[in-house]
Amino acid sequence: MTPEPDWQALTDLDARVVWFPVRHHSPTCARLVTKLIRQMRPAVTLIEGPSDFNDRIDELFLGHDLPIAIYSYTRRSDGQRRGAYYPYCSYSPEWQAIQTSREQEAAVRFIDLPWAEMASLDDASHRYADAELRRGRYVRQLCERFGVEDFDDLWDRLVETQPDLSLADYLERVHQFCGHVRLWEEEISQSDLRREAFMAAGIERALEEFEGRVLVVTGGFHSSALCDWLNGRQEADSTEPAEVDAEPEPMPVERGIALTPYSYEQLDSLSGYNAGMPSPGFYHQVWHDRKQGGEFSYRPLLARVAQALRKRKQVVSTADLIAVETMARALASLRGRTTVWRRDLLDAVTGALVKEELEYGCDSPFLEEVLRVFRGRRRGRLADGAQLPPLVENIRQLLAEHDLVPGRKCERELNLLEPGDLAKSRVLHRLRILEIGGFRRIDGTDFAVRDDLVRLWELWQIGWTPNYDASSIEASRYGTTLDEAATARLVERATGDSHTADELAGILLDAAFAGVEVLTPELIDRLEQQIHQHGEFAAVAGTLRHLLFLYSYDEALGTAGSSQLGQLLREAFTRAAWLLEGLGQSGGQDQQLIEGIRVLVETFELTEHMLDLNREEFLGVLSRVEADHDQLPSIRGAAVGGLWSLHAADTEQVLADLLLFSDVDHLGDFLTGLFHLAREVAQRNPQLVRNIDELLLSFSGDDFLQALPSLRLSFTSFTPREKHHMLTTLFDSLGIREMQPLHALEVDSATAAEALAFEDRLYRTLRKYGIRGADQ
Amino acid sequence: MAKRKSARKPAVASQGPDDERQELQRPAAEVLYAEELARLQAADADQPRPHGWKLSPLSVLNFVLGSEDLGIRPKFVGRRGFLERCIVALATNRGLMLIGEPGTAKSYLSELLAAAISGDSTLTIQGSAGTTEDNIRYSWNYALLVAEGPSEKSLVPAPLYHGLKRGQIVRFEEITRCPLEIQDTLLSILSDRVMKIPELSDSSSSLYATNGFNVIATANTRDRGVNEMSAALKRRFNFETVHPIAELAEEMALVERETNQMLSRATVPVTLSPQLTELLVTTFRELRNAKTGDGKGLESLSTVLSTAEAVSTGFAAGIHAYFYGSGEVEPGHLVQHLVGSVLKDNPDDLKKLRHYFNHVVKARRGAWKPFYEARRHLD
Repeated sequence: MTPEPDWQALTDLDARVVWFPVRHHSPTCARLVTKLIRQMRPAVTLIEGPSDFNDRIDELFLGHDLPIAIYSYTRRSDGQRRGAYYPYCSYSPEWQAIQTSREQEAAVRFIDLPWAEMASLDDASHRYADAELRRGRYVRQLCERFGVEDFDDLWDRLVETQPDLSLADYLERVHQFCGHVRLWEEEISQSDLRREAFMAAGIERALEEFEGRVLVVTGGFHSSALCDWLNGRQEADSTEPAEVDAEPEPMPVERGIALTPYSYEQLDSLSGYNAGMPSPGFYHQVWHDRKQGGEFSYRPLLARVAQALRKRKQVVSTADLIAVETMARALASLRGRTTVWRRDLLDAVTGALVKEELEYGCDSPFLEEVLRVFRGRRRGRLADGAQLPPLVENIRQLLAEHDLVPGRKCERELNLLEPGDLAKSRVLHRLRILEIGGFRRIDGTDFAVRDDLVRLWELWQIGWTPNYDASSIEASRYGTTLDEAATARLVERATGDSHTADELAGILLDAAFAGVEVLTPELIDRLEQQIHQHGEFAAVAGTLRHLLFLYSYDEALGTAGSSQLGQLLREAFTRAAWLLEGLGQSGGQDQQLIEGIRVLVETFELTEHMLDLNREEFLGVLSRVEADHDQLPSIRGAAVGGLWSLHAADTEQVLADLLLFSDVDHLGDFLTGLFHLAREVAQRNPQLVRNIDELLLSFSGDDFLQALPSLRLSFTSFTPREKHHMLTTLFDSLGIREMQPLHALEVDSATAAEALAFEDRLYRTLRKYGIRGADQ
Repeated sequence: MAKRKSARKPAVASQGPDDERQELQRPAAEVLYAEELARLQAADADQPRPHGWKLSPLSVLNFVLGSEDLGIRPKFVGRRGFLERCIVALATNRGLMLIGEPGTAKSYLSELLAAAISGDSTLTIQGSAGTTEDNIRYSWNYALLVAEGPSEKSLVPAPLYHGLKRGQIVRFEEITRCPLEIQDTLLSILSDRVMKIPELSDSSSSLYATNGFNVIATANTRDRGVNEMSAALKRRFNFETVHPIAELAEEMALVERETNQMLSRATVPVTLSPQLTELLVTTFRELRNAKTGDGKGLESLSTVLSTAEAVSTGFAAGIHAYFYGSGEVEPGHLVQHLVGSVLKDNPDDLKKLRHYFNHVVKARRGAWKPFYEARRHLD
C-alpha cells in the first residue's frame, strides 16, 4: 500500500524542485506550464521523454510543422521489431515546456528510461497515453460523483473547461486527482516502478549539476512517486526494480531513435492502453483561441461540421443548426458549464440531427462527420536539417541494391520465376503498399482472377516524382525498415470494421506479393479477426479460395505451405463451414454458394492432414445441410455431392436424394449442385447415369421442356469429353455397344457462316435494346 | 432496458395514495413515486427550471437514474448522456421521439419523464391503426352539441387538448402505428404551439400552449419503421434511440431480480440461480447482438430478444419447474421456454437457434454442458 503523498511538498511553488503534473496533450496544462516557466525561470526543465534523445535535443528547435513524434525502435535478438512514439502537437505541455525553457534560457532534459530498455515490460506504443489515469475505481467513482460519462469528460470538467484556473489551483487539483488515482491502484506496474527509479536518479543528477531551481514536468501519475523518491519516502519499494533486473530479457540488437512526422489522424485513432486525449482538432482550436487571450468559441467548429455535412449531401437546414445550437447550450448549462464543450456538441448533433435508429456502438454518418472535424487533418512535416528517418535510408539502400533507383521514367519487366526478379518485385510491391511516389505496376499476371498462370510476370513503371521524398518520409511513421513499414500499413488496412471480400483478398494478395516476411503474426491475427467477424458465406468462401491458392498452388510468390497462411486457411475454413450451416435461403446467389461449397470441400481434401482439420465436424455440417428441408435443392445437391466425393456418402444415398428431387422444378437445380461437387464420381457411376436417364424418360414432353433450362445448366459443369464419357457409361450399362453416342455434326461452311451471321445480328439487336445476355 | 416495478413501500408516505396503490394493479409513476417526487421538488425549490416544469432538469435526471445521496431509487438503466439529451430536448421547441426495439422500456421511460416534469403521466394517446383525430385533439358531446351548439362545454377534450391547456407533457405511444395523416395532426401544434378549434367562436377558437407543454412519442423500430413518418414531422422531433442494456452484469442483475420478483408475486417458491441467469442472459445477448462473447458473428434472428423477453422466459421456466418439475429450475426448462420466445413466426429462427447450440454452446464447459444436452427440446 502506497502511503499518502506529501501534498505540501508537491504543490509548493517556492521549493527548489517544482513538480508540474500533466495530462499529455492537454491545452490547459500547456498554457499553465508556459506560465510557470516564465514565472519561476528554472535552471533546468526535466521532462518525461526518452533520455536517449538528449544528445540530439537541438533537433527539436529547427522549426518543424507539428505534429511530429520522437520514434524509438528496437530489434531484439529473437528477431522481433518494435517501436513506440512520443508524439507532440502544438498544445502538448511537453512541447511548450521545451520551447519556453529554451526561450527562458533554461536547459532542457528528457529523463525517462529509454524505451528500448523497457519495451519488454510495457507494450504501449503510444508513450503519451493516459492508461494509468483512465483505469481504476477512483476514476469511476469520481465520474459518478460528478455525473459525467467517462474520464475524458471528467478531465474536461476538472481542468479544460475552466479557462480561469490559476496555477496554484491547477497544481492542487491535478496533484490531488492523480495522487488519489495512484493511491487507489492495487499494484503499481514493474515498468512504472523502474521508470520512476530512473527518473528520480535523473532528477538527483540534475540537482547536483545545476545551481538553480528545477522544474519537473511528468505525467501526473508519476509526480507524487517522484517527489517521494526524492524526499526519501520511497526506500521501502526500492528493492522491487532490482528483482526485475535479474529476469533475462531478449537483448536489443539494434535500436534507434529519430524524429518523424505525425498526424492528428494517428493521434486520434489510438484506443485501449494507447488511448490519449481524443479529438486533437477540437483541442487545437481551444489552444489556438485561448492563446490569443480570447475565449474559446465552438462556433467555427460547428460551422465546419455543417459545411462538411452539407458537402456529404446530408440535410442540415438553418432550423436544424438552431436546434443543434440550442441543444448544445442547454446541455452545457445542465452540465454546469459556461461554455459549450466537446461532449455537448456531439450530443446536440446526435439529438437534433440523427433521425433514425442508432445502432449500439455504431456511429451514424452525422456523428462520424463531427468526429472527423474534431479530429482535424493536420499533418506534421520535419524541417530541413533534421536527421532523416531510418526508413528513408533503408529504402535508398534497397533501391540501390536492386538497381531500381528511380530516375527518368522507364518500364521494367520482371519474370517472377527468376529469384532476382522476384526480390525486385517484392521491394516494388512494398513501396506500392506504402504509396511511395514513382512506382506503378502497369501490367502482369492477374493473381486475383488467375485465368492465365502460364507466364508469371509483371511490368513496372519506375520514375522519380516530386513526392518521392515526401511520401517516403511520411511513410516512416509505419516503421524503420521497408518490410516492417509495409506490414504496419497492411495491418492498418486490415484493422477496422467489416471489410468486403474484395478488400480482404486485396490485403492478402498484397501481403503475398510483398513476401513472406510481411506476414507477421500481427497481420495474420488481424486477418483472422476479419474472417472471424465476417457474416457472409460467399465472401468468406471467396477469401478461402485465394488462401487455398496461395497455400497449395502458388509457385512464384513463395507462400505455398507457409505455416502462417495455414493458420489463416484453417480459420477461414472453420468460419466458412460454420456459416454454411447457418445459411438461410438466399435466392439468386446459388452459383456462388455452390462454388463456395466446392472450395470448402477442395480445401478439406487438400489440407485435411496438413492442417489437422476435424473430419467428423465437417462431415457433420455437410450432412446437416444435405438433410435440411428448407434449403435450396442446389445447395443440398452440392452438400451430398461433397459427401459423396469425400466417400462419406454411398451411391444409395445419392440415388435416394435424386428421387427426392425428381420433380420437374427441382431436378436441374439438384443436379447442378451435385455435378459441381462430385464431377469425377458422377460421370463414372453407371447407376446414377441410368437413374437420371430413367427419370428423364418418365417426363412428359411438357415437363421435359420445363425442366430443360435448369438441366442444361447442370450439365455445363462437364466438358464435352466428359459428357461423351458419361453417355458411353450410360450406353454401356444399357448394353448398347455398337452405337455411337454422338455423331459429329456435318455442316458445310456456307451454313456455318450463315448461322454465325445470324447470331451476330441477333446479339446486335439485343444490345441495341439493352437486353441482358447481349454481351455473350 | 427493463423496468423496476417495485412493490416495496416507501419509508414515509401519506396514507391516502398508499391505500390506493395497494388496490391498483399498476399505479402510475407519479403515484408510485409520489414521495420521491415531493422530496425532489422541495429540495430544488429555488433552482432555475424551464417554465412550467415541476422539477429542475437535474432533479428529473436524478429521479430517473436515482441518486444515492438523495435516497432516490434508480428506475431505469441507461447512459447518463442519453438521458441528458432526452431531458434537454423536452425543454426546447422540439418534441422527443424515443425509438428502439420492442422491450427496451421506451414507454416506461416516457412515463417517468412525464411524471417528473409535469407531475402527470396520464395524458397518453395510444397510437394504433384505429387512432383518429378525435382521440388526439378533441371531440364533441353530441347531445350538448345538438342542444346548445359548439361551446367549450360541449367539447370533450382529448390528451393533446389537456396538455396544451395545462402546460403538461403529452405521451404519444407507438406513433408509427397510426396512419400518416393522423400523425400529421401534430405538425402545426408542434411548430406553432396552438390548436385551432374552428367550431368555436373567435375568442376561443385558438388554444395556445401553456408553458411546459411538449410531446414524447415512442416508436417501435421493428414494426413499421420511422421512415414512414413524414419529413415534416421528423423535423419537429429530436430522435433518441433506446438501447438494450449494454453491460452484461447490469442486465443479469435486472433479469435475476425481476424474474424472482415475478415468481414470488405469483407465490411460486422457486428462484432462478445466478448461473442459470447467466446462461439465459448470455444466450439472449449473443443472439440479439448476432455475435458471440469472443466476437464470432452469428446470423441475426428476426425475433426481438429484449430483456423483458429474457425475464418472461425465466419466469415461465420457474413456473414450469414448480408445477411439472422437481421445484428446481434446470437448464432444460430454460431451453423449452427459449423456443417459445425465439420462435414467433419465422421457422428459420429455430434453425439459427439450433446452429447456435451446435456450434457455440457445444464448445462451452461448466453449466453450459447440461444446457447443451437439453437441446433435444429444439427438435
